[in-house]
Amino acid sequence: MCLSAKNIACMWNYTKSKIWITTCLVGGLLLVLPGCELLDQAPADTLTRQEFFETGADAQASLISGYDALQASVGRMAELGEARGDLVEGAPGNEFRQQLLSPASANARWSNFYSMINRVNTTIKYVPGIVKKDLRFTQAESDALLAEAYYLRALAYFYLVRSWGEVPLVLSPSDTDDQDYNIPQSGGEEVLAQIEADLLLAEKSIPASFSTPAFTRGRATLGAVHALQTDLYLWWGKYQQALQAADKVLANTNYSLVKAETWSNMFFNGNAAESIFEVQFDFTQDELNGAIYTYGLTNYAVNIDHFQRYADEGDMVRGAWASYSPTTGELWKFTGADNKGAARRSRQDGNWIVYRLSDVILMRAEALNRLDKREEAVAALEIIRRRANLFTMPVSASSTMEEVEDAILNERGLELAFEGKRWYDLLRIAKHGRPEVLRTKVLDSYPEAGRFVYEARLADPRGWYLPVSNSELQTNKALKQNPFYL
Amino acid sequence: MINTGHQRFSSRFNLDYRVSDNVRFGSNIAFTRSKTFDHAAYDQEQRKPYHWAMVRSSQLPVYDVDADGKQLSTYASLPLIHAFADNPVAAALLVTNDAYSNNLKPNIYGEVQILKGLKFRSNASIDFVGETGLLFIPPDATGEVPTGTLSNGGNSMYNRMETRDYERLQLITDNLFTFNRVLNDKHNVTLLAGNTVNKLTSSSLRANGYNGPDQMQSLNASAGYRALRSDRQVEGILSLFAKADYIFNDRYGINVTARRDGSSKFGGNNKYATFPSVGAYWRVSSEPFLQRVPAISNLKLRAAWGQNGNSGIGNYSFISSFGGGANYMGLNGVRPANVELDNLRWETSESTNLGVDLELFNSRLTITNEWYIKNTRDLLVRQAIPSTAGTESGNFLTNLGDIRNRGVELELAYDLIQGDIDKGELNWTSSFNIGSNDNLVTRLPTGPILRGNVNTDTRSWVYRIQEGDPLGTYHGLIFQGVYAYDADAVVRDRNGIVVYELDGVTPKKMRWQTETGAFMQGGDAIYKDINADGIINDLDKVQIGSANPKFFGGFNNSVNYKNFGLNFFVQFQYGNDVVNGLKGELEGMQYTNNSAITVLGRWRKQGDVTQIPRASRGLAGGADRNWHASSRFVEDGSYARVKYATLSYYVPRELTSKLRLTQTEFFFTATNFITWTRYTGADPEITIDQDGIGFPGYDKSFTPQTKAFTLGVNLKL
Repeated sequence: MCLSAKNIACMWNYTKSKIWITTCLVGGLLLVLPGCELLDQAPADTLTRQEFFETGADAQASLISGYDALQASVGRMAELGEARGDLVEGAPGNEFRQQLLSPASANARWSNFYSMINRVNTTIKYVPGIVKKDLRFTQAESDALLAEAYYLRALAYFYLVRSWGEVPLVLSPSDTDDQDYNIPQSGGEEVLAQIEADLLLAEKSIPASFSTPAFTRGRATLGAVHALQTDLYLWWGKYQQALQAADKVLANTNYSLVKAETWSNMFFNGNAAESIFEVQFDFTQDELNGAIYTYGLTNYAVNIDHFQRYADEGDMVRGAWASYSPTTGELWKFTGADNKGAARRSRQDGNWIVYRLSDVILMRAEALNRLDKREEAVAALEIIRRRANLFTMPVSASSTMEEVEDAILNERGLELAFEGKRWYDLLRIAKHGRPEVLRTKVLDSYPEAGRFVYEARLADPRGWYLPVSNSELQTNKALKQNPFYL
Repeated sequence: MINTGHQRFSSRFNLDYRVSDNVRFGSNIAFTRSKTFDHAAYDQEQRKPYHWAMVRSSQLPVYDVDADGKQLSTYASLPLIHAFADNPVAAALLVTNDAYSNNLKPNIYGEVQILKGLKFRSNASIDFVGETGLLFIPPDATGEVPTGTLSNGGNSMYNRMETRDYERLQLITDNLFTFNRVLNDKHNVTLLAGNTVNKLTSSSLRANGYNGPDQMQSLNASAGYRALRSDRQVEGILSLFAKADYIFNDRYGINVTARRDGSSKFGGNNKYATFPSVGAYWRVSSEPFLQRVPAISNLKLRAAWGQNGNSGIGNYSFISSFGGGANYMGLNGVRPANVELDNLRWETSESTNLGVDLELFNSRLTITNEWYIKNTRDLLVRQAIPSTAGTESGNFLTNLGDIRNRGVELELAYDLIQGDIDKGELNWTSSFNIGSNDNLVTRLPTGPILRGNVNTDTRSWVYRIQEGDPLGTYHGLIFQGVYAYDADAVVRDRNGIVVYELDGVTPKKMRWQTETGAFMQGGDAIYKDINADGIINDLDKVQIGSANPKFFGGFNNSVNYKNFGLNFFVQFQYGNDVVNGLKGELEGMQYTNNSAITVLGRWRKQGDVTQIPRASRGLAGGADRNWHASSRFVEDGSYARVKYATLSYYVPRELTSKLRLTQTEFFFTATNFITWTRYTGADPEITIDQDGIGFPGYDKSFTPQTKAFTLGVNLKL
């Protein structure tokens, strides 16, 4: 007789016992009936949150997923930082080059960065509990992993705040359907303060280096924290703090400038002595650099005026076959093969440099200049120019703040072209009292006849930031569109 | 279609054993082996060579042609010239896509009569399906060449093969107590109580290989790239139910049911839900006052109310899972894959039915009429969440909103001519049914749910499920013709007055998609600028059709005379719209597609007045603008169709009795052979895609239903 009393009982949760197996005998055959556990099924090919976050290996795997999301964001980082600036020309119809992005455009989406933030937030919430469960996982190891997570979160928000101006500040992971996902935008200051706080936490326990040279450049380190702090404080107009952070990078023995002869190798071979933080890609692991993909598709070409700038300077190091192709005008940095070779790299798995020493030296120069330490600023600029075999100086200690800043900006263009820096450089200077620099530079990058269109679009500072995507406005009722796009 | 088909072998074995008057055992086993071959179905959109034959450029021959114009025996396959439209003949003849399926269904039961009127029955059954499949797409079917692209390490369509294994095991046990008593010949009481345990296990393995040596159907040889996918799932369902049935004097009946269902698809306390129902009837014709009316043989009034549960979602949906593969620098990375759904619960449908069964003139005329209203609440749908949540899918399942279905169904059956068939007299029975259903989204708290492109061929069809609308409505632009002159494409305000630029003299021109988008001009489609902002974009999309018919039904007839029989069935529906996806592809003039003959009447020069816009291939700033989702492609999908008609001849029994045949029938059957419709596509009979709610009848140009003519003979021993 087959009475699965257990099943009946468990319908109302009367019993929780485990070994309730009802057997029944019918026609000489034995049938085993499952009990209540029948309804407790879990997938075999994924882990549940209850199963994960048990060991030190789990902690690391959780952190690594944040880097994986960073890899996927590189294409966006390059385009957001470069496309609206004056160093590139876009293919016809390029939305960024219109200087007016439609809220309907996929380019207005910020999902890449928030995907990274959610993974990092998950790490930050659940990794601290592992130390109690895994005795071999020390508090110091846990803190070091968390420091990297804080760094990645700071980096993601820094891109978001510079591109959209005001963004929702999400600091806890998306765990359940009980959470309120309609988060309004936070003001720019609040986001910057959060980035500052995350970096301070990271600074406390992040390693200065890792076991291999590749990991030391490929994962966030103390040097990367200081480089990002320099960038943050410069953007924020806190020049003294920017200077302090930059000085810490300069004091770090892990980094030194490469020689002029091997300058372009930095972008092909990767992990040069100059590199501070560089996102690594490996073709054999199915990892592709989205920036190289974007550049390689001739979506962008070097702007004709910028082409001329290298020639005007007599720069033989950083121009032809280093930053651009002199024959086609295509972008060559990251996409070119070998040291100044005329061939494209065969695979799109080159690394993407987020920060390198030259960048920090020039940021330091900018901070010094704003602090009216003109002489030191010019000296810092000179380091970068000399390295490129340029032995004349466009400015001197007696030049004005504006003249020196323009010279630094020009140098940044030559040195850091197509590294996803230019638009943010222009925006930073514009934010701090010199909007005409952004307007003039960007307008000059268009043929004269069409300039009046872009002039109107760049007149309103709110238009320097991107619109919130329509799809985002539809799902999140707490969001407000940037008024420029209304 | 060439090379599609199905073969089947089945057997069945039954055993019943009566131990005593009170105890019975029984068992049966059914076995089926089938082979399905569909040599051409490998398109991801599940469309087949029929579609390719329609859209493939008509300049491309089926076979290669040499320099002298002589036809060769090799297939012309040039994938780069025409992506997504391979050579249909080559695909049908060269592609291997076979599936072998074994289905074993053993079943055993025992039944015990415990007391008088009290019975217990226990049943255990297994349903096992094992399936293996093989797909091979040789290069000469697709014309693919072995050059790989950089990103994937090989051309994934070159010499592609796939083997797959699938296994499903369902174990069901039911236990049922039945108690039946008739008291004083008037009170008939039936009590039922039972439970069901259902466990469903499935696992699959799919291995893909490509870029191997030409024609070699071997995964091992596939040096370029291989891909493996496996999946394993377990689902458990527990049910407990009780039913009480009471009939008084064969006149009044009432029944009450309660069931409690549990499903492994929900978490925590949401696993279980209780669903009651009650029903009652009154057989009016058994009342003394109607028994005197001889015309009425049966009149029954019915009413029922009940709830039902739906758990039609994927397994493990509620579990917060973490997936691998998020690696970096050779280190393993594990990422959160989806959020935990603590609130996910059963979807409940509550229906109320009222019915009348009427039989007149010794049951010669039967009328059944049924009204129903069904409210579905806690609808299981995917709700989009802001991307700031950072989740992978951008949405999660939730119980959201209510849907109401209301309808009426009427069925008439009439024995038109009541001759005796056995005597060869004329006999004609006819039945007719008609129904109407209207559905409405009565509550959708988070606002409209949008669903994007069904495919990439017809642009930006948006399905919008929103409060106050029925499910299955199409949204798009309203097509109003074609601009004859460039100067016609100007912006007008809501009153139809031309809007000027700031200079006050230049008329403002219509733009496509954005305020910096391309200007509309002569030859472009005129779309209604709903919000009068001078830009044609998603904001101008409105409801332009509905897949829901106003009414539908069928008409069945059976006529017998002497040794002849005629049987035919007509199916009809009226008032529904269909999106003709193929029309968009054939009148788009954007790609290298084949084009419909109608494009000869396209706009070519200023002043042309036509309904077909200009050719827009390579047009900057939105080449798709002239075949965007619009009312131009929405057509009336009403139809009536003779689904089948069979004419039979029964050979007189005396001629065949020596062959020991009890019946010999020659028949001629025609299916789908007459269709009345105004729809211009191949087949107006489009099923509403069951992929999810709100996916209406969009004609992706599937292979139309076959018109078949069959001549056959049916012998019975």
